[in-house]
Amino acid sequence: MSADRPGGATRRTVDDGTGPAPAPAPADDHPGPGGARPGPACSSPAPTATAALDAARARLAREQAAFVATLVGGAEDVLGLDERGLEAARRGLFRKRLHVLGHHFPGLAAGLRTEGRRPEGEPRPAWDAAFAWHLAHPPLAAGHLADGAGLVAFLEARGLLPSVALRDAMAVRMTHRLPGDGTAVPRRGPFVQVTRVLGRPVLVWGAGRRRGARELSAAGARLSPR
Amino acid sequence: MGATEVRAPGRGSARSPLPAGLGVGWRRPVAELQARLRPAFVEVLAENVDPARLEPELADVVASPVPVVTHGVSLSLGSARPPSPATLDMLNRVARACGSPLVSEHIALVRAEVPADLAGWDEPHADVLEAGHLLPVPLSRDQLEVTVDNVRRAQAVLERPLALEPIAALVEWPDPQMSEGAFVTELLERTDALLVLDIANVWANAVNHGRDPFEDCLAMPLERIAYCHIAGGTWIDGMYQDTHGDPVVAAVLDLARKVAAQVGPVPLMLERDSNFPPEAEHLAELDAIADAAGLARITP
Repeated sequence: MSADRPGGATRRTVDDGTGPAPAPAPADDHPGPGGARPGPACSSPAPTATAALDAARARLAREQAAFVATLVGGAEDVLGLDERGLEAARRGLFRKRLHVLGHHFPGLAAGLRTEGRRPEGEPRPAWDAAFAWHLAHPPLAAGHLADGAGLVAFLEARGLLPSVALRDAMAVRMTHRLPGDGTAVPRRGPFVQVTRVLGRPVLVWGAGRRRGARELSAAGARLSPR
Repeated sequence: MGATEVRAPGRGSARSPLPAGLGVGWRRPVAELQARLRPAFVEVLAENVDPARLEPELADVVASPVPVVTHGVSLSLGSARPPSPATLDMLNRVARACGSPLVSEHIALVRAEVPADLAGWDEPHADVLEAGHLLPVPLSRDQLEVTVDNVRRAQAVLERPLALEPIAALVEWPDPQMSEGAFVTELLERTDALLVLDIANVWANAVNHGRDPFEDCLAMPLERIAYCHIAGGTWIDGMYQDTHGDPVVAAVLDLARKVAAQVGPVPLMLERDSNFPPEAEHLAELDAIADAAGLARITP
């Protein structure tokens, strides 16, 4: 099962006057948090588990932790990786993450990608900031909604949110509160709020989270007339 | 094992439960187009399938005689930790729902548990880091022993034969103790797993890391091929990236031609995940792949 699968009975509306709300996002082909969760070990097919194998697992675990933290977490490279390959792999993983986020936040992903395609040397402030955010905030097991809300909040607080991400930034308000310090705080109770998104007044409301539910039961966001 | 060892030709698909021919990687955005093709087999991405409720186009394929392979991406068989029973159970349920003769996964790592005191990293972090993509494993004895054990554990739970795919890696681990071909050969021989040979992955790794693509193909245990992948990519930041969202480059088609000449007709399929081209272009690419690999065309 993929975490990309849209939630069940959640009803949401975003009205920015440009048309219907985006269709449910398709599942993607990436090994995201919806897939495996490290669980208890399977029973071994034969009683061959040896101390040597356990020791190999322990050594490997530390090497792999360093490798993954370097690639997706921006950790210092202590393994001596090839610099050009490391940089390309880091950027490749960022593009992949943007691709997945694009299913839920199409404007955000498209706006960043447009900037990212600018030739080397031209300023790409939003793209560079988003890449820095990616390295400082490794993909969350919490899922893509929290992931996207975090990136929107980060860019908004720096005045770098692409204008084509207006609908996405409105949708984020239905699941998260953005106090303006670059963070996104999950909503809990019912709420009605007038806030500003990309300088424009937005009315956002929601019925709150049902007890035990992962998603808000109903919410909406409406762009107020200028 | 010498990288240039030449194996007996014509044995490419001898162990495969799939018929030789051009297959299709089932993707929702092009399901309507794919329903008009005549594929030798179909591959589904396990993580995107709800086994309790197959989508109508997929249910039609499952009801037809065309075999459907279950392809997973989240098992992380290369991890230091044994594979998750929940993910293995998911693969079994999808394989059952699709009547799959085969389950395939990757020789890769998609997440790692990160200790609080990891050297060189003071970033606050979760216990488990998700890479969001397939990452390479070190070509070391430790990794080989652990992966052999992980694969055997997976095979003990999976209800279908398992085939394993080497991945494309932009960055390789330093100080390899063996070649990738030697690693994969020993892993598959000791576990009796089959091979998913991704021709584009082999080409990408070879050109990005200064090796000969055909020699790297020959170093793989070709007699264990279950089926082959081919995919498009592009050059970004001075390196070839296997994007699955661009056309198949001519040199990769050429490599497919050489592999087909070496092993004979095999089950082969295009992986295209995004940025789908206009229909005519898509069909022309499928025909070009069929022609290069000496397989019958499957387009209308």
